[in-house]
Amino acid sequence: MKHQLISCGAILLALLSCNPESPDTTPTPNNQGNGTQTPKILKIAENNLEDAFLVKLGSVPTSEDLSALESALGTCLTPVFPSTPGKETLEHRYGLDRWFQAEVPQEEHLDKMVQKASLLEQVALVEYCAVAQKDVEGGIYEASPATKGTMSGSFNDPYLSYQWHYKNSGDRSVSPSALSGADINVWDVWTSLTCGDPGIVVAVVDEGVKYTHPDLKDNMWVNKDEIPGNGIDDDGNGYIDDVYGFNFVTNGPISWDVVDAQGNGDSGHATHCAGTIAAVNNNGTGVAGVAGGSGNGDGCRIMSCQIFSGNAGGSSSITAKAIKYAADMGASIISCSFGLRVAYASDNAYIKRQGSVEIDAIHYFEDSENANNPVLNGNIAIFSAGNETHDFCHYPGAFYDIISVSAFGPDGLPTYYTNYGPGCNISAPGGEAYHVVNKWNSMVLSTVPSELPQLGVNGEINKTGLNYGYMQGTSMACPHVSGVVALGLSYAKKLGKTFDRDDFKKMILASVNDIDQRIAKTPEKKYAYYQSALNLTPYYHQMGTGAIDAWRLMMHIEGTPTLTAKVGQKQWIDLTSIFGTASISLTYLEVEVQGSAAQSMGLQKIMPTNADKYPAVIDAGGYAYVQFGRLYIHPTLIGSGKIKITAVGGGDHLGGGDNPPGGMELVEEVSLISREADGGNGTGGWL
Amino acid sequence: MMKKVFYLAAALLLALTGCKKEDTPQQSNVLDIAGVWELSSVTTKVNVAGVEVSVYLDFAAGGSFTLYQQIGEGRYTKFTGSYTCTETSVSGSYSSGKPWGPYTATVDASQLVLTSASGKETDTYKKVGSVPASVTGNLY
Repeated sequence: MKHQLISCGAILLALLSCNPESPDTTPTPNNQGNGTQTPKILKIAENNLEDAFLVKLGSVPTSEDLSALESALGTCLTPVFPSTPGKETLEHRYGLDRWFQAEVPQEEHLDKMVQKASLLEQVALVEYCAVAQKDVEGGIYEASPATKGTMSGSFNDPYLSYQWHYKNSGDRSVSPSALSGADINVWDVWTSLTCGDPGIVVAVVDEGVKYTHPDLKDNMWVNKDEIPGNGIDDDGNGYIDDVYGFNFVTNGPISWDVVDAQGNGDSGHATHCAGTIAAVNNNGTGVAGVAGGSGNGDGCRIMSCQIFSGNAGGSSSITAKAIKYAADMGASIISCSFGLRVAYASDNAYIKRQGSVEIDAIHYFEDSENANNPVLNGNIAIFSAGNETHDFCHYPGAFYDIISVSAFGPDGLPTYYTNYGPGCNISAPGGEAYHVVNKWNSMVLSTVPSELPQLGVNGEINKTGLNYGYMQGTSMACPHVSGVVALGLSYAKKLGKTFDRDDFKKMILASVNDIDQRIAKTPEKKYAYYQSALNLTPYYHQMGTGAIDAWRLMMHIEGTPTLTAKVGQKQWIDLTSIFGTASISLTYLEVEVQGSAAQSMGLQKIMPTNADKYPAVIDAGGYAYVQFGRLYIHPTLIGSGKIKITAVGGGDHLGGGDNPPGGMELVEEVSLISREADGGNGTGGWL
Repeated sequence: MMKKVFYLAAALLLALTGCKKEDTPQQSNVLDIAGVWELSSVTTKVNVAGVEVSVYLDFAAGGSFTLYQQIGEGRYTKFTGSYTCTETSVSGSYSSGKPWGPYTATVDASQLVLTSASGKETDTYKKVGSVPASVTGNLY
């Protein structure tokens, strides 16, 4: 019922506030309808700064032009973006050199100033300064003291066994409906492919990241050209003492524990997201991060671009400036777990009513050349989809060319809060409370600032001093994808591969496991805490392309085809997609289950019963065989691995030598993923 | 199948208009495999190399088909698509666009035999009245 009420409210809000076809003449709190409205004004329905607004000029002003404009407006105009040497062309392409912030003097009124600015010929656009919200549900929830878990992984981080979002074993103590494999499938990537690369930098555009955190400090990006704490802009980039990033709210040091007397303010949000992306792995401490390295200094790096501080920040100008900083200082990914609560019905409605300074900055980021990232001709922005239970994504993540992330729980199903539908591109674990009573472990576990209070299992507020805690939200789903993308860039760099940025984004969206079969089989989702249930019917085919899978992305990067097997049953897998429609008639020479694949997927030994009559090639370990052009296996665990298959093309034996003419050797390395759901791309129909 | 209907209609028309006998079209020999078929053996056994297989094929007269298959344990998976027949073979494609066949086919009132182009696999089906409810009610 909650879901339906919220959705109805959202639709009503969209209908009332977002009609992109109508002229902007409706009186609003920002525009009292005095008859002087001009099309230059971009307005928003709610929540904007009262003491500043933004103008985009029609051309880059000279100092004389600027002085004249300031006189006409009666206030100072400050460039939103400091210019970066060598990037003037890109800045100009996106008009960043034409954005200015105007302060509203105390004796003036915002709307009057906006009207005045809109009448100036040199002014192309006027924007109110919208304020975004963090996409987290609730606060920090207390983690139980770390003990050795039931699973053992590659790393010695004691909390890793509680991070079901990396490897979900279907533990019923996490959720009675926990689903094996409802995770990001990263363990096998760590084991055999990559754990990260210190050259790949992820900017967390958020609150301040606690860069002194014991599980983060070794993976923090460091601006080596800046001397800490000397009060000087040593590298001349316009920001003083920006060693680990910058606090764009206060223009001072990065902070993470600013809380008012009522307990409102910093929430630990950024530190939690940062830990998911790249908490230091295998350091015997706390949690693991998706791209946190192997414990040998090889983790991806975190840059803190602080746009929220205490109860301040989040405005579009601050956010845009922080995103440009990330681009200029070498971040390959921005992880943005925030968005606007205002519901916009389309990209045009968003641009028209919200403005474009953020979008200009995001496109500047994505198109920036990056010396740290030899893999792509650009960078990638990842946003959260929002927690309003809307049947559409919120902006800016909803923008057509930006990846936005919806959230699923440990049951592999949409969470009660996640946005879904148009604009939502992909899904990842966001955690979800209420699966079990008096436990928070169905949420996402990561690093938090020890200075902040945590909510105990009985609802009490504790000042625990703990460095780890649970949170939930699409805010937590977003950094999972950011971390996977960071791993992907690390792996591509290791292989010496390069990709077009847009092609890489398509690969990300194609690197998924099915989520819809599970939704289709579960009309209603129930919670331990509530008698009401969540109707899942509306979510079918609305959670983006599916659940992000790190292994699949690495296989896309390698160029290795991936087939999907269903865990827990003997089966054959059609090889048509590997060898073409002739697969059934090829002569096969060898099949080899490689590396740790048999262990990862728990492959049972499987032998053909009629091999004497019908040719079959059998893996040396007995874990797979090929017969009738099909691969026969029996996985018993959720996992991933590779199998090499050798066949003859153009004959029934290899040619050459004294043999009659024969064929050529075909060797194909095939990736296999075992999952609860049949992925549909490996097992074909009988015919 | 549409082709066959067309030929029959044309034959009827020609008969009514009194054409000469030698002008009457020959009866089509295109295979008619319409009906519901249950897989009874693969080459010689239903038990394919240690993996239990259960397959029902429902070929509709209009050229569409529905396939229900159970490989190993678990529920049945349903596939749909289209098919065409010649005088000796059958081929088609799944709804996904993925092609299958051609199989060399022989058919009579009770049995359909499909042999792969390579000759390495022969699947024999027996005709049944309908797909059992235990199958259609046990889908993924």
